[in-house]
Amino acid sequence: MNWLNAIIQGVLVGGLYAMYATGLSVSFGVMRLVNLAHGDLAVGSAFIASTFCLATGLSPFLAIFVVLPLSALVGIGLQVAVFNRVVGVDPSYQIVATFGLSIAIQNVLLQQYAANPRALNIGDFGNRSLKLVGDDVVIGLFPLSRFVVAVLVLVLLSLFIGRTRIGRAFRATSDDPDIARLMGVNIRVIYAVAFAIAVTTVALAGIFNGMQTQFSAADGPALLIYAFESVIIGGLGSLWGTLCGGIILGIAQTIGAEIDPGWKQLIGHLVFLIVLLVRPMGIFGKDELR
Amino acid sequence: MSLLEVRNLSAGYGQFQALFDISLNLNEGAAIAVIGANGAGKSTLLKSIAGVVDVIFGEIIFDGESIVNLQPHERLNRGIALVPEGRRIFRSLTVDENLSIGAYSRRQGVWNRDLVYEVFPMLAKLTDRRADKLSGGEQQALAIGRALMSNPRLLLLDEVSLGLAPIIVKKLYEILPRIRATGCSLIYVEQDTNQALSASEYAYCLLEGQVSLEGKPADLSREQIASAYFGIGVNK
Amino acid sequence: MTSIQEFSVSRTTITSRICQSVLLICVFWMLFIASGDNKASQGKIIDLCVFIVLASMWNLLTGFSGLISIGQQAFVGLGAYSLIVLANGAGINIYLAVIPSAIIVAVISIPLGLVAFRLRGGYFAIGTWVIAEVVRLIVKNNQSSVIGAGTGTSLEVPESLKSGRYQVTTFIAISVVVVSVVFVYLFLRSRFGLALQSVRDNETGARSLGVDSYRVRFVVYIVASFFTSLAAATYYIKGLSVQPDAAFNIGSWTAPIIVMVVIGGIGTIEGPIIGAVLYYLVRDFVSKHEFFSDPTFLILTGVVALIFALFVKGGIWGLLLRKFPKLTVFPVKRRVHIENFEFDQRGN
Repeated sequence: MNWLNAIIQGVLVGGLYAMYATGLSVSFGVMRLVNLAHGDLAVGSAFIASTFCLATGLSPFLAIFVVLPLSALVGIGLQVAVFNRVVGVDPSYQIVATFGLSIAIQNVLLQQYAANPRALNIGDFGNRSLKLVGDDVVIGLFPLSRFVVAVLVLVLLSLFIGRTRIGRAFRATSDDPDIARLMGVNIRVIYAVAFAIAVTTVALAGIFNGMQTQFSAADGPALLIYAFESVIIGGLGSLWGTLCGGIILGIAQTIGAEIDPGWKQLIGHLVFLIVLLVRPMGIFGKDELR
Repeated sequence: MSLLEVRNLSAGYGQFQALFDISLNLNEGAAIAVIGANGAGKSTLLKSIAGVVDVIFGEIIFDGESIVNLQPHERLNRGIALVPEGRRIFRSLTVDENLSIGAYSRRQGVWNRDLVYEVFPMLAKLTDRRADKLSGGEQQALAIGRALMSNPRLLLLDEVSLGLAPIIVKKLYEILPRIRATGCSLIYVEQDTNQALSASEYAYCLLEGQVSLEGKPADLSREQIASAYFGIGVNK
Repeated sequence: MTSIQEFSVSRTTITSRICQSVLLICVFWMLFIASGDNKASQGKIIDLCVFIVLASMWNLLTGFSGLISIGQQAFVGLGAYSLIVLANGAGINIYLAVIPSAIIVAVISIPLGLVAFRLRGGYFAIGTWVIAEVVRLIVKNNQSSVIGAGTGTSLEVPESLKSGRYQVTTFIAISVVVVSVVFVYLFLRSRFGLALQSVRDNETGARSLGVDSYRVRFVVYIVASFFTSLAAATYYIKGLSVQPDAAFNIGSWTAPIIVMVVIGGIGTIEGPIIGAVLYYLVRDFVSKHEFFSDPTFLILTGVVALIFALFVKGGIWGLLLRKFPKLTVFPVKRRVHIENFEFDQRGN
């Protein structure tokens, strides 16, 4: 029964990974931008939420309502100040710029909060769980609600992109930014909205992560890698693929951890590499990567 | 009444200058043709009117106001729409969604989805098809329809006939009078001179980024056009 | 038409000869220190040489081939561990094990490349990082006593080799840096280098002219892995102790490499050298001042990389070139010298 349990935990954590991945997917989809500071933005948001809770004594759930608008503003600010200058140029400058940003954010966090891990305390809610199949399968109430929220975010986002006027402009910009501009689409606004979405979703994921596990300043890169693996496993350009990618990665990791705690990440990476070798366009991907 | 006036325009891409001292005039409701060989600067001229090419020197006056410093979407809002070379429809969007993007500027006018489908019946039954699944002629029709959705006062048509079967080109050109009937002015850019000249009141021929010949199509002889087109046998 | 009467084609210029002579003097100066007894200076020279090699190789990948790697730490770590396996495990002389360990890594890089090359552009970059992580985790989970798992191990230096280790290592480091830089220079001048740059500038165009872009880039990937691990092995003959988390650390290897190249100038042979020297001078200065804690220095590094990538794309070498257009140390381009040549842009 441990295996069933591992799989269920994997699915639940996969929802979190999908939420990390959403922003990466959106910013790549709309502006072909790969942001290496993506994970650091998640960790940064968790630290800000933690500071807010310590200062006010309020629940981390309330912190979400403060941090998310803030992160949307940060996203717009970063887009205007940094990313607009690297969209459409040689990708090596994109990588260097966002890599530099990543190093800077990590070390600002390290300086501000030292190397000690922190956590967001959600009290009793974090311990409650549902027991199924006798007492063998334990589903934490918080991971379950987190998964539901993740799916909800994806539903809203896919409705936004699929059905709304700005969502259509997103897709048009992704297809051909020059012509989108000619059609009257102000692509700077589109980019700013896209990046605001990217930062907001990853910030929410970062806070959700901090409500269950400890986090520290150096965690960003690992989160970026999980997000990236979810995107590639699921296939570029498909939000639902990303959810499946996250779930597959989550299951691989929990099963790996079940075999040997040292193998948690390794098995996850190996599954990613196998998908890359066997099906480089990802499981739900439409377009080949090369 | 002059709708568009291009005065001594020089333009290009970065270090490369493609247009040299071009002047051109277009009256409201008129249709003019810009012809010339491959690389003569025809597309660059249209793109600089639409605002996607850097103007080095010169003026572009639209409806009495200079638009040289306006962004492409601002020019669209004033009524300039481009049907780009190679069609460049949004491949992952459906036909219907492509038209919606065309109407993104929300400019008011006679054109709407229904009228576009009426004028281009071939699109009417494909509304939910992804644009990359269309044939070349359908894609061209969609590109024109998409531009019309912004209710332009000036429609810039770049190489509409390129890569299409003659019968489809003929069909598309038959539709153009209906577009003009709505009060929209046209500039055709074509390598295929006959088609463009027969549909316009005035023509400019470009050679190496300069106007090498202009006049009413009826007044231009074949020899004149040939020499202006290829730059041979004539002394400037 | 203009008739061209006298013209000549050459690569070398007077400035390139002068600059090359200055570089040669630097090499001799380093060799002089290598033969001395000052371990502190020798240690600095080793570090600098190692990082010049690492930076040049990253630049060969990213600047010249469009292969953006942030996983160079994979080859640093593999170089270190191959050295450990050959020296501690198989008992090969530590100095003689340097080149074979680089060859082993070059061979390992082939399957790694097959995976990484499934991705493109920015995603290739993260892919190289994942691969480095996989290698780190495999090493970390390896229970063999030679590897030493997570706690790492130390290179065993036999009694007979203990004296003069710094001197020998400095000589090796200087040889490695000279060979690497000369190699990059000759490589870029070759037919192969031309193909590489044509692929970077216009892949479709180059393909249509018959350049096999995949193969060209793959070869570069292997070559860069070889030299990166060569430098890494050299570094660890000096450093001795190897831990997986340190040897495969993106922050201690790839981060400074990228900063060096971007400051010096991506896509030039001179850039990485200038960047590495500058980085070392600043690092050295900063380490003497309390104010610059490690995080502060790293924040500055990140910000500087960001600023250069956004605003100073050509790096310092690019700025110099703008002021002195004829400046060149390693002339790759051919220059045409024509007398009495009048050129009319429009060909009339």
